[in-house]
Amino acid sequence: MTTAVIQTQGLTRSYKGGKSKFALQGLNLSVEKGEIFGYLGPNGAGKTTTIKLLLDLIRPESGKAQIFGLDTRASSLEIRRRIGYLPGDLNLWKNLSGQHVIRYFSSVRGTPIPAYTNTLIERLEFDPSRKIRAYSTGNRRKLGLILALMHQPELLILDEPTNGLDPLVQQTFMYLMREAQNNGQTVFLSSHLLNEVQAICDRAAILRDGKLLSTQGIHGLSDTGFKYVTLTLREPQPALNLSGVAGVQNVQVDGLQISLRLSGDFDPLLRAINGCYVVNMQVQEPTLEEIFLTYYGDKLENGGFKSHGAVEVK
Amino acid sequence: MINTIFAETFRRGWKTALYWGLGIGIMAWLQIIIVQDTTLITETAHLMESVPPFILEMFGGTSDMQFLATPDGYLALQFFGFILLVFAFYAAVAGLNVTANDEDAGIMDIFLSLPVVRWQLVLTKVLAFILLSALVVGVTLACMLIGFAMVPNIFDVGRMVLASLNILPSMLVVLSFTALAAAIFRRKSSAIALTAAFIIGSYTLDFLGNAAPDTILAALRKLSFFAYYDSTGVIQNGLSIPNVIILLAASVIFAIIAMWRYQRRDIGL
Repeated sequence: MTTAVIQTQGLTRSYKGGKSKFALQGLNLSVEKGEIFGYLGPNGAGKTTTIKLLLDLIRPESGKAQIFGLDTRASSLEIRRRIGYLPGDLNLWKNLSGQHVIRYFSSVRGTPIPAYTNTLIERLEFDPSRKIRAYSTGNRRKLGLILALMHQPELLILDEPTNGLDPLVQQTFMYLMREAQNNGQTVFLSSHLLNEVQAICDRAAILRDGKLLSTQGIHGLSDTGFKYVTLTLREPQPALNLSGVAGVQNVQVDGLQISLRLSGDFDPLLRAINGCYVVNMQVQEPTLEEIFLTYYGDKLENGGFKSHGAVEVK
Repeated sequence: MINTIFAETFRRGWKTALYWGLGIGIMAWLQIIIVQDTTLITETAHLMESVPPFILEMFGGTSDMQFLATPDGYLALQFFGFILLVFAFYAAVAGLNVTANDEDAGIMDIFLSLPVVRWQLVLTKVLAFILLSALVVGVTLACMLIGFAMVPNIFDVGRMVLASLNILPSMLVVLSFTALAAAIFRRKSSAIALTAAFIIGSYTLDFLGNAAPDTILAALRKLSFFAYYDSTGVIQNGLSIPNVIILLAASVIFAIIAMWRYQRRDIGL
């Protein structure tokens, strides 16, 4: 039996000064203990607003949120003892050293510097002796990760955690997240980088314009019902017309190679090419980026959302 | 948690407070040393006779020319009369450090993700800055005492010490008011504007009320914290306990409202 670490019900918050513009609208969300949960959406979707509501930095206009079964407003202090947070835009006192900030944060938590801190410093190859103002963006993110992870909290809330990290450190970050999960910790990871979510999350929610569009397992999220098929024939087949075949779209012929997008079952396609000698057939699943765009595309048609043009994906 | 924040605030602020105290203290020390030149005091007093009383009040002076012609009177006019404005500036800067600067720099988001109670944060930092304000006054007083030792038997040192300590309650008013302004507004610029209006408004109200004793301004003057500072009165008559109590009460009220407000309002966004 699973236990919800984060649970929100109808969480709503509007932008200041914009009565009709919701930063978050009726959010119902559940994050289970021990999972790595991706919170996906383009910039301005309401991801950071959700996090600030969970941390009790801002207050909802309606709805409520619970963490560890405790109300985020009434039991904020108790909750904050048990979480680690990395903001999307990390700012710290520029004239202090990394080491000083680590010591200060530990002291405010009422604990000595945890032993795990040194492990993190080594694995992230971070130099804590320098002043904050001397750190590059990547090093500041490393420090932010250390501050969030060092006390091994039950819940990690990470807002765009790999922003500014080089690929090697991103890899280390992913290992750290897996280790945290194996350690029984829960991770709530906000991101607009779909490949990041795809690589480490168990489940993900998609948010847009303050509304939750979907919450699914990563594999379920990928299950859009279409795939890319590339056929390589032995001989040219000028008479072969696949455009009318059920589920087949975007047919492109390049010599002996035929590329298409297939929705649904393979059977209609296989029947249509019956008699042709197929040298090779490649089937490629769509990337999460494509799924994301497809998903938003569907919502644009069905949900009547305002078009924002290209969704920011990487 | 409270001890840590208090110690960290003091650790980060003591050097600045020391420099402020030294800067103001050297200014005071120079005025004390100059007093040996009795001609200067006499000439200053004569000069003041030709100045309209409301201008004298503007600079915190008094129209009592006999008093102005004494070393104590000279220091009351040339130092204590206007120096509260300088101390108030330090107190305003300190008040912005309670929450506004960290919030404006985007640091408060991560800091308040720690197990910190917001009202306790405000209280702890206000207390730390009270100690730092006392340090500024203390260092200034130390410089003055060195001056008094160099020109013995000229000043009523006891009264001068009281006049120096009399600065502190007014500083606390400005400090807690600035903390309140920062608790009300999320924008630092708004907090600065409100604090500036408070200090300049209080100063203006005080000297206009003094200059026009038969008008409503004289009654409104009671709303200004400068009215309870009364440096000349302290040097002539000793510390006014009611004035000190009023200033301390105002400080406590401002600080309590600041804590209440900061506990409830949104951070950042």
